Amino acid sequence: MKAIKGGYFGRLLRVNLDDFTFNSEEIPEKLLIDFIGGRGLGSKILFDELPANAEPLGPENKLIFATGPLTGINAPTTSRFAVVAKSPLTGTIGGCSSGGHFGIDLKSTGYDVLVVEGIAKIPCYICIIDNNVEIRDASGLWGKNTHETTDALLSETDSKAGIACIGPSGENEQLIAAIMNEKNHAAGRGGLGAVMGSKKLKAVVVSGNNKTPVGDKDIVDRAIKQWRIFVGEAPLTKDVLKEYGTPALVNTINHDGSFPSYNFQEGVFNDAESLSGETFKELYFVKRQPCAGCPIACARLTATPEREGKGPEFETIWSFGASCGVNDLEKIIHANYNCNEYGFDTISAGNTVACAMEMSEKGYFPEPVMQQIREDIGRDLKFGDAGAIVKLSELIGKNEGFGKELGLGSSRLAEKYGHPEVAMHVKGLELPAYDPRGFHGMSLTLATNNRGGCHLRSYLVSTEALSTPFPINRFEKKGKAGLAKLYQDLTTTIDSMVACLFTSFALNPDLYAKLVGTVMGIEMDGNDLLKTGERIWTIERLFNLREGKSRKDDTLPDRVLNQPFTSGLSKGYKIEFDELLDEYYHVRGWNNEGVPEKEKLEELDLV
Amino acid sequence: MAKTEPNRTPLVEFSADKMKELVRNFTPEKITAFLDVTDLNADTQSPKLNKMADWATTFGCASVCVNPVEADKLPALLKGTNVKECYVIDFPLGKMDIEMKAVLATHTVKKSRELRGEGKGFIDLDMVINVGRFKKDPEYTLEEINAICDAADGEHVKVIVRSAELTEKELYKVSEIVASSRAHFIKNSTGMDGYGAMPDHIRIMREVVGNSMGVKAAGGISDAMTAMRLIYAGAPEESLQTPELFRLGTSKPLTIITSMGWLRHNTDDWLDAGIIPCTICPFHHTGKLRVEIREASNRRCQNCKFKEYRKHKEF
Repeated sequence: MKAIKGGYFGRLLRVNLDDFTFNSEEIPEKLLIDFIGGRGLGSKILFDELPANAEPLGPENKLIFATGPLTGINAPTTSRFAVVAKSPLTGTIGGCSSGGHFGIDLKSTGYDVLVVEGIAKIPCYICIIDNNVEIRDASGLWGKNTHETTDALLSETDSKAGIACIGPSGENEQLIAAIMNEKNHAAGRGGLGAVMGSKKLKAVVVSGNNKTPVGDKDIVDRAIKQWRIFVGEAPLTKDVLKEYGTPALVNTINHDGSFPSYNFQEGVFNDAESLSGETFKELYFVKRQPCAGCPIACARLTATPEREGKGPEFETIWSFGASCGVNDLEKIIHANYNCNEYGFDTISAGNTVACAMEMSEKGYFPEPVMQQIREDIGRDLKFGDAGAIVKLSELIGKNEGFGKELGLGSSRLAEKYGHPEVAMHVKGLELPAYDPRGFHGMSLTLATNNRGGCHLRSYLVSTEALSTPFPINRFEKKGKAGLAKLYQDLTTTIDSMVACLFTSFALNPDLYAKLVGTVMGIEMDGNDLLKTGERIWTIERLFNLREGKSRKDDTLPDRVLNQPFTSGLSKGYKIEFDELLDEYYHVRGWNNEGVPEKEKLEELDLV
Repeated sequence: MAKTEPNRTPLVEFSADKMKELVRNFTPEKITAFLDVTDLNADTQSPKLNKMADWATTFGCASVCVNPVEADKLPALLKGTNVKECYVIDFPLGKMDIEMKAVLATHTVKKSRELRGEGKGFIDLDMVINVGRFKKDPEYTLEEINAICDAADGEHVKVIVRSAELTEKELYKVSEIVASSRAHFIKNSTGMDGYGAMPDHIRIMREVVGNSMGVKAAGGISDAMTAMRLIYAGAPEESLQTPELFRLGTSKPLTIITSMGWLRHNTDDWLDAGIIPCTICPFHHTGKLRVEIREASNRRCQNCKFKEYRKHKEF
């Protein structure tokens, strides 16, 4: 007897690009109950099917596109999807969540999950329209940017289809390459675009008319109404994000003295006003362009006198802005457009440029490299060079000149030239715009994140900086290990159901569980949901342990750990990191080396 | 006088274990029953009233609290539910004379009952005392409270004492006055005073009025952590945890409800990380206070063992 009453079609499409074959498989119910969907299901599949130490850009790696039980049910922010693969940038499990409408379109084909295996002999794209699956020649698209590719495929297939594709960056297997959908939405972090490029897979086109089944429709509708009330009224989702988008954070984080500037050498950017949400809105905002069915509507179209496009988001404004010492918002916008069009991660790219600026200023590059840079930008590379961020982002996209080196990411770049301490990353993934020296809980979540230095897997900033759901002491270490775990476990389920992280500003674990449970038609409360999140987090940890990661990788750059800020409101605070990490392992039920204890694995049914 | 005030420490010294136990005994549903959903802005219009009524009835709040002018709409929105109407009287300054206050109360009650058509017992009146008169003549305050209670014709009256404008000694005194009146609740603030609900003041009010009168905390309550501290201060015993004996006035009911859901997970961690003493201490909030109260507050801060927090104002 079926336990699950809705949320899934229960079908997985497996495509093998080696021989252009595909088949539909039934997804066991237990997998759906234990791992929900999206990131959780993708992580489980990858853990089970990928051998240890598989080459991320080789034929063994799998690229998994996964929807969740909420996809297609018309609840706020649930148009998203997850992509999972082994990351070529970090060597860890890689995964991203992206908005737009691709998620709904994938679900509407009648498949919950698409698993792509092997390597095609020629560039190709996968086209799934309803239940009709085709693998088509994409030779004519190879070399085109993400916007050109999307336009061509919309015209060639279905004008309303969801399209996820790579640009030249992914084709060149750059380690910071992204998968872009609906032109400007990115599965950005960890180089999954390179995995797609390595498979010679230019795009995935999805469209269909299948409606996601749900449990008791009346109960589901009531639960959706509650979501709408809460998401529609919470201060951050109702006012701040709608009015200013994510750039609203610039002033807040800078005010706290934790806005990493000049490659994390300072915590305050004096020209932050030039980059603020208010400035952004006044000068470049055109209109909101929300993801499908999203009432928050943080995404926005923008234009400069020369170009138009979408974004940038807060992180991009920071990475190409404060981190590079650049105060020219227009140039940052152009760099962002380059990232979207060539298809690579804005956070990693901006961070890597900042790293290069510091190396250049400190004379860490040998003369031939300096010469190449002069050839590329016409001068030496220094912090504050707005023109350089535009030119270098273009060169990354084209994989030319010094851009080729930048496409490696900051860790490999700094390592290559003998100064790994200049790269601001965790496990190879560049850090985001929240300096842990000012947010001590974030230090833990960034250091222990399964995909590396990313804020989106446990957004403690919500409480440490934005007082949501409560204001807490951002320099306090008590309680932070437990809260890091709480946020990690919950965010894991949000990525698995699949919804937007921003709903966590308005909802709580019980409200998530209520909707997921009613859609699936099973009993579920907040504790059940968090336990599932813990299971998923742990299996990702097991994946990373199998790949050779350990406690030594759960750390932060030396600069962040040992050099307190000398000015601003986070001045002088030092993170007591080892104590935090010990406590974190303890609350997770892991041993002192960060390995889950047998009892914990049994508790989570992972033995 | 101020120099001899006891240097009693504020809420931060409350037992962490008891606070955690209290939180564990609460649910979003339980805390919702204490909420007076409030909007007292000048530009409040019908769509907002509709929303507030929808929230209150959907989630089960105690009342919807608005200006008296809304008595021509609100009763119809709440008719057939258990949610009460709450009207503020002489808000926010309390500077009308007693007769005018009473006339306003009588008029509001009459209008509401006519429209709702469900008889007595569906109205709260939150009256503001004349703080200036109280400081010179406490008996005047007793007289005005009882006059409003008479005008209320049996409906519940809550007395707003504007604690941010009172010294601690005055707060004790006014609480005694309210306790001796025919009112049903004492309430700290209009939400528009120098500061909002401080656990310390709520604790004093409960201490003085005893366990048979209601205490309502209002001002700046927008999350469950704040709400729970106030409940700890004003209704620590289970017998006090009813809408008849404790209320929270808030314009942010939804964030309280949803954050209560967060607080129930990892309760200990939230409370451990959430201790920022100055933010919950009335003596920290000196910016808008009268000189003599500001000076008294500063003296408290100088002797406070948590003064380091005040030094680093950006927590």
